[in-house]
Amino acid sequence: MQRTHTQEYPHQANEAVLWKAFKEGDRAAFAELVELYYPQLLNYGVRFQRDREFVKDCLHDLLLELWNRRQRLDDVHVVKVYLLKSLRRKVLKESTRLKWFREAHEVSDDYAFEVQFAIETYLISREVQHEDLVRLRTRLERLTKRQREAIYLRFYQDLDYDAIAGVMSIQVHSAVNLVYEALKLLRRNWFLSLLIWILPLNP
Amino acid sequence: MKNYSQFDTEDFVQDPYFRKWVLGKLPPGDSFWPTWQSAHPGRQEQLEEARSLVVALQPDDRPADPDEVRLAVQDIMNDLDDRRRPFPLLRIAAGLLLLAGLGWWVWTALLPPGSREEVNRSALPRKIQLADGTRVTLSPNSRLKISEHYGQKKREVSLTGEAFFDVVRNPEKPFLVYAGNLVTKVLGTSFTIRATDDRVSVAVRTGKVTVYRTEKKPGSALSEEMILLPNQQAVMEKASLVKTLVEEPVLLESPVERFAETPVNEVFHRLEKAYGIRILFEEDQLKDCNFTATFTRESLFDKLSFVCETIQARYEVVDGQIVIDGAKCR
Repeated sequence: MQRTHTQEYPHQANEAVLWKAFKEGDRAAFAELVELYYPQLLNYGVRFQRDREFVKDCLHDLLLELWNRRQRLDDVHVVKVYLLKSLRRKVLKESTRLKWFREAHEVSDDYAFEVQFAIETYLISREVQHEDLVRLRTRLERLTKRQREAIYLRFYQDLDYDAIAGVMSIQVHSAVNLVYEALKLLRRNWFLSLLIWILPLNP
Repeated sequence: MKNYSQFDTEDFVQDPYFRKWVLGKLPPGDSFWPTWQSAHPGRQEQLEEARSLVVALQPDDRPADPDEVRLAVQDIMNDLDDRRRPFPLLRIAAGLLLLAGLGWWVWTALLPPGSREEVNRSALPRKIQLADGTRVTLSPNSRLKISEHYGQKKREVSLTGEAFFDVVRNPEKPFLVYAGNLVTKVLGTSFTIRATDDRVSVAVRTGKVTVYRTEKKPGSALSEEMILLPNQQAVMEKASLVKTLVEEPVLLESPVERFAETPVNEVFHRLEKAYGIRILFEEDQLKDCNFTATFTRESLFDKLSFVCETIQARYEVVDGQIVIDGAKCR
């Protein structure tokens, strides 16, 4: 069951080379960096703000700012983490402005993070009856947006706990806790091993 | 190499190399995990459980469209030099202008105006003209907000209450109306929006309109879009978005008034054309039905009732179209 995947995570050495070249004003290197990270950044951004065009505008501005500020940038170790963090800040900031404009009422500084995991889609689409599964579903529904974001960053963006803490601006131990709570939820459910045969792999 | 034989389920789940295998992200030649699996039959259970967990926690969505990404990257690369130093220059210019003693009103004339709000508290509709010539007729007790960036990349407004929009065509700068949790997007056309607290409707007069939700519906990863044509209407109520027809469809071209022993199929075709609304019926079923009448100023729905009564049929509005259900005539 070998599936080909279009986007292979780059080797970090290669990433560092590209970043260095970009800082020296190499357009081709910049284009390559952008191409490499754009799909993942977009995927992350639309979870805070479902207006896709809006997120693309934010990304556009963010990446242009990056190019213009290239000489003043630090040598970041993990480019992706830096970009995810910057995008997060930008989308949340711009969304607040946008929300003020679109909606008459005051907005809180609360944010949304929308993601549905494969297991949830499965449980919802099958309208499961088994009481263990129903219990699992209600518990999954109670995952907080912070937990969801941490799990998403861990298992989809493949970040380690230091990076998650960096992106979300939280302590490392909090990042660990957020992910562990969710794992614990699923862990004891022996029937999960049956689900693997039914759940489709992420395309 | 890590000592995988000491690993528990948890450790496998947290291991990047293991996750890549489960998600099919390893290069095709890499057979480490299948080999390890068969060498450690005792760890079968942990391995399976860990695999389930990894799969279960993948976000459920579609990958980005490669074309979308390619275009976006191109856009960024094209803009690299344009915006290199607009800000310092603008600031210096601003300083100079002020120093030169030019009045601040010069600024208001040169720079795009800030976000502005129009409220109609009168009992009569109020006509408003926007910077690009787009005309808005704002109904009583309604409010229109115009984005401070109106006309730059997009033309954005937000509405509470009711308004009729006659939008000047500009494919470069889409016109967007935010009302309740619906977004209406057009390039140039005319339409009416009614937005109350629990119901939003968008009715199209001319052109083509795209409507989508601003809030996500549980269970769907992407926002659903609905395309509306003249005389069609989108209604958002109790979190469901339905396509239907406007209450009073208008004629798009000169009416057909007179029918004399006309085959009913032709009657439907001519109504379809006059109102630009799709009418679905079984050609074969109705081929022997004829219709004679002279229409004056009846509404489309009155005309339809009249025809249907004559041929013993019924009509229904489904998804912004009309469906005729009738039996053979003899």
